[in-house]
Amino acid sequence: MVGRHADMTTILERCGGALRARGWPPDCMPPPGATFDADGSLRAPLGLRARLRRALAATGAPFVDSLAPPPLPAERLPPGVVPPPAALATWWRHGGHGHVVGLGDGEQLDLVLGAVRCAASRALLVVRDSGAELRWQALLRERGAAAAIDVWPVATVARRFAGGAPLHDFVVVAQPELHPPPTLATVIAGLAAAHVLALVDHAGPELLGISAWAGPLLQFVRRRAAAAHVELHLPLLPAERVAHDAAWHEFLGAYDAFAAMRPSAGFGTFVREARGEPAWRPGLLAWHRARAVAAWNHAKAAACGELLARHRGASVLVFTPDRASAYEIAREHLVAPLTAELPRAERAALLAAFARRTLRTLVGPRLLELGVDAGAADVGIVVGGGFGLADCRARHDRIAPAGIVYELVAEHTAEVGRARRFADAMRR
Amino acid sequence: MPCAADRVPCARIDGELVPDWLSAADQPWLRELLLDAGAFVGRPLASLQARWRASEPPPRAGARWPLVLQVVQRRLVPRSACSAATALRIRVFGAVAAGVARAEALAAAAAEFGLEPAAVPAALFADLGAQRVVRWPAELDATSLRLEANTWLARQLLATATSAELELQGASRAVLRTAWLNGTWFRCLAADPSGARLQWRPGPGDRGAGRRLAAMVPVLPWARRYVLRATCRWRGAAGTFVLSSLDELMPGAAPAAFDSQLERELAAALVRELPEWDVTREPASLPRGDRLAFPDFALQRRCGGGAAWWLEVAGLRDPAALAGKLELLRAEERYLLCVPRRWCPAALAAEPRVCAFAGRADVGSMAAWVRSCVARRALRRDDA
Repeated sequence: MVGRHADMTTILERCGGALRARGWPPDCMPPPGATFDADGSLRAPLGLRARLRRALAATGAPFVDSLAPPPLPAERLPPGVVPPPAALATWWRHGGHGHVVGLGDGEQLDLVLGAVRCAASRALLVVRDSGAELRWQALLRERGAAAAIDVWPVATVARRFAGGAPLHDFVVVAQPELHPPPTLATVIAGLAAAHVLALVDHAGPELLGISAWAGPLLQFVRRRAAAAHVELHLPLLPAERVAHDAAWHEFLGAYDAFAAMRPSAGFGTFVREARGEPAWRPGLLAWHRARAVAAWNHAKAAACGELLARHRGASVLVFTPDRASAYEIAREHLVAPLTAELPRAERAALLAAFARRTLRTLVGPRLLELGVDAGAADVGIVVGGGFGLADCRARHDRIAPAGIVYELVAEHTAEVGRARRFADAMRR
Repeated sequence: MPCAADRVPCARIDGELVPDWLSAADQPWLRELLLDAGAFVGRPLASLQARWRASEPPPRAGARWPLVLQVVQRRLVPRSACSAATALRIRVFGAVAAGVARAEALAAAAAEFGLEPAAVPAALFADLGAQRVVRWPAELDATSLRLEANTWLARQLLATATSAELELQGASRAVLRTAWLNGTWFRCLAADPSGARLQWRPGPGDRGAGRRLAAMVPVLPWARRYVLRATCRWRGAAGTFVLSSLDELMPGAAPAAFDSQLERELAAALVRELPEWDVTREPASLPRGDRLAFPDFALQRRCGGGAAWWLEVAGLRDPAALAGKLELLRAEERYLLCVPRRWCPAALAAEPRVCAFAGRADVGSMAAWVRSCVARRALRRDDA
């Protein structure tokens, strides 16, 4: 039991890699995961800092948080937003944590700027990749808020802040449904921010997991109508068909054997084990071969050329399965590729040129999904790839509602079922 | 969080991290690997990577296979900032976006960058990742690959170092200067002509300190003898990694052997004059207040032992440096100092451990003087 004087101030401080609360009020229930030391102080993982603060605030107990970085000077605060975003007051009332779903790019930016003014703290905006980083940085510069908000990809944050002292008291996570969940969980726990805001584009099954660290759902907006979706089923050449089927059958043979031995294990387990187990490795390599043939082949290259010619003059985004196919399309049609291998300045220049519409076509595997403003393109050509439904939705979001998305699907391959599943899910 | 060092093939034995070094027994599979890679010269790196992915690793390579591939890749396609390709891309894609026809855009870019129009599409991404072209570098063979892989392995482990101690003899100035230039600071714990003991501690919260320490690995093989003991992290736990002059590493660019022609000639004269003595160049660092001094030579009798001698040839490009040398002369009993005659006061010239010289013409007399100094001292010790 904790013995303390009724008017004692609780002190939150860092102790090694954990958080220690001295003088925890006896009438305040600590969150799960926190334990009392022999000297009566409360010890908790750093990731629980926000929850401890909220618990103390809820009971009205005075506290001093020695981990809090210095507040942002008034002259560096971003400009105010009039009228204030609908979710802002709710977010602040809930102790500065929560998530919103379905807001547009402009509304998201307004909410972030308003929240930074409320928290009066330097914010860290965590994005998935350098494409999103460049886009957000451009938006913040336009609104004169770049000095108050750092924008970094999640992988950079994980490298930079693992185990370090928190530098930001307010963390915004953009499109958390697109981040690798284990990395994001590590980052959120390591940052130990006092305030959190998550900007979810599309609600999905992962929303429950997001609310575990981001807090309550504050606002839900149904997204506007999506662009028209056209599925083009393309045949493989005979040689490609032979190569695909041979690889696919080899994979199925290996996977069947694996499933017979491990009936409860799924495909993910097969992939993990095949990386280190020579017996399953050929099967996994065969799966990669079959997927590569289906993702990029002669018919898709030809269809891509025809579609680019048909929509010459329109803003077109070509989403490719990998870098190699992006470079191939770029060489063939002399359209600019956007990949993570390009120098950063060149990437930023390409995205800015596309936003200004001086560059009409961009081709790339992943950075386009979040690097281009939502609804900025007229036409989308999905050649292949994407890591799931959330990526697929992000790609479709880049295309204006009046535009059109062509999805190129290799006939009689696993792409057909995948495209159908995604299309059904997006219609729902 | 896992780091690159965790992938280093290593074993923890009694708290010591023992890497799975590549040895002469690995030469056969390394040679095969290089012969295989040689077939991809002139082709994109992607094709070589595909070949590596599909091929079965040699049984002897084990966990070292990915590490060796990484080293081969770095040699075959070194990273370089290629602004020409960036400019070419901007030129070509900008022209096409502005409505110029493909052929015209390619021709204009070819003329501007001195290429054949047909070669422009291939050159567009020649600086990017797996699109880079494989080129065979000079002096790449199984032996150099083995040494480079060992060096890489040591650097990966040292990048996680949290403290280190270095025993160093010979080439001490080159080693420590490289360390300083990389931002690594050593504290001298002890020094005598047979070597110095130095300590390294990173600053608080300095995450790049280990990587900077690792950058001195290529210069260590130039020392006559060294032992580096570092506390490193490997797979979540700390261990001591010991790197010594017995380990086979690839020496980096050779440091200058001598500072001046005078030193070179004096070293040769000493070897001739004192056949029973070992002459070591820049043997160790001597602490002088908060700075370090690097005497030019150490003389150690090969048989019979006895204390070694420091020998300093002061060029005195900066005459103010003489004060520091005199301080060392007073502090060290076995310290011999050669000073240019024009900078040597009469009182100093009378000092038995000081030799005034006029130039390279005096090298023979300097060597004879050194011989007489060390012989006189040895005789006195025998009398005693």
